[in-house]
Amino acid sequence: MLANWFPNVASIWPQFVQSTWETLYMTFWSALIAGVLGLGTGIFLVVTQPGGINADPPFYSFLDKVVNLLRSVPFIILLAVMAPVTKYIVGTTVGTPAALVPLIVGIFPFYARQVQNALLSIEPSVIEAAQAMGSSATEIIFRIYLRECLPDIIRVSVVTIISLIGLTTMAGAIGSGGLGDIAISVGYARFENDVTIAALLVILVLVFITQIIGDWIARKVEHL
Amino acid sequence: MSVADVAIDLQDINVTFERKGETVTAVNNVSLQVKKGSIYGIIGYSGAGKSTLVRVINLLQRPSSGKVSVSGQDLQQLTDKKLRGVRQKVGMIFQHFNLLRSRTVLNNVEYPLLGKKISRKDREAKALELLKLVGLAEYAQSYPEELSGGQKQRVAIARALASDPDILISDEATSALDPQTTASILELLKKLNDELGLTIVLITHEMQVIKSICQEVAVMADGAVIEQGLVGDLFTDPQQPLTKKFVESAANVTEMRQQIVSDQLVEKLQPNERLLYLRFSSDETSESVISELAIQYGVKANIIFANVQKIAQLSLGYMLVVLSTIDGQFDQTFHYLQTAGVKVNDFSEAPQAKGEIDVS
Repeated sequence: MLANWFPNVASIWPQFVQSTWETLYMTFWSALIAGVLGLGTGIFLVVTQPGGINADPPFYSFLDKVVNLLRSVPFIILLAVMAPVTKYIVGTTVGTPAALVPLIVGIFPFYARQVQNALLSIEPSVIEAAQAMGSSATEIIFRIYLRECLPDIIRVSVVTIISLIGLTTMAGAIGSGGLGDIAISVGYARFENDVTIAALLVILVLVFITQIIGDWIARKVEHL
Repeated sequence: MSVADVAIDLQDINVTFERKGETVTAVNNVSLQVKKGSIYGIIGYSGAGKSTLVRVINLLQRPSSGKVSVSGQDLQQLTDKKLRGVRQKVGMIFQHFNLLRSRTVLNNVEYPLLGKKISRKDREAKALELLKLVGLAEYAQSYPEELSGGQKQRVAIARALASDPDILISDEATSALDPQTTASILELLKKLNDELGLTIVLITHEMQVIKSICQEVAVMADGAVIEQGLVGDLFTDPQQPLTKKFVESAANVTEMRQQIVSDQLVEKLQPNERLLYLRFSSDETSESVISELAIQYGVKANIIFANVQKIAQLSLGYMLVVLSTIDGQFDQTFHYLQTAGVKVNDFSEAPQAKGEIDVS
């Protein structure tokens, strides 16, 4: 069936499988690292904001501006701009690992903002109650903010991973491969539309799986 | 009061905020002492600074100036860590309960014990014990949203008690509850005060709350304490207009005043009649005074409104009465009432029935 409907995909099958793995690789590692960075940044934003549990308005204002700045850079330009940094960190500016640096820088501010909004959904009076019970800032972060907002954090994580899958398709521009790359450099360039469509279908499947798993976990932790 | 008897000592507390370049004074030069084991009420309308003031007690709100000591410790001198230790000994409950929705009722009560040197089993046992104390043991595995307002407040009280506090601060804890639930929560607070010797500071805008359980009270307006003292004294002899208003609201006297106006009682008085508002502070006087007037002085009394309320072991009587004498002379009557310790307001000469002419 594959040979009938997707003749060109069948003829480059090993390359197609390779591209799928590259997309998964980029998504997984950048989600993991950007997840930690974004969660940390989001927490810092909430904790240091004026009136926060460890208010530090100058630091908050700085962090807030950095997040805004990074979010305003178009990703395709970020890929190019980050090249020297990537060279410094990864040692090369081409190949799949090289795409991780711009992907992380591109997605973590987005995630940080989403985490910040999720954490802000907690009533300030609940935080006050925790302070009144003698909880330290660290205890409030782990026992109140992250715990109470877990369903929301999972939901924004899903949104972020889906955006991230979208971003990985552009990584082909710096020679990092992936499904986006094969769709353009093979499917589009050689007029092999079936390759483009197959790449799209695989990406859609990845998005659906992410959504389904995410929703399932969110429901699981919500107890409702 | 010796130092050892004082649970909370606030001295010259000021709290100011900067808002849009303007300085707003939330608490204005307040000093108050709360005795160990007592129930201290703070009453005032919203915006009077009550909430800000009670937050000074556990330094959730740092005062701009003044001294805060709790159980003999000067809180402003403590490190953050020590201050958190003190906060664990000062429980707090709130108008909107502030329970953690992601945790079960039992886990909510366990919260203050997390990170303490206590085994999980002991922690659960203690939380369950407290839930029994507040009468909600069977809801241990429920989540807060499955409970009613009164039940949520009981959970909040159990949670506040988990770290064995000496002091409990109640920030409008009954304001979101209906009158019956309010009464049951107040009863619970009174029980905790009796059985555990818990010192309670509660803030409210309802005099009924003060009346039911407080021994001492401070009245706040515009950030300042305008009157404070024993609840009995405040009810029998309120000094400030606002205090009088609160006291009257608790005795339905406000309604009585409206009745005077709507029924045109003053206008309908005969020349030999007087409309008097009598207040007395123990029930022996209430019965004897009227009969004594009739027997000794031949004064007829027509009681229009009477109410007795119990406050801190005192009975306070309020009576609106039309007295009539044959000759229209009331000098003797007034003299007698005065010697009997009755406070008299003569409404006859004040057609709007706002007369505050205190004959005593």
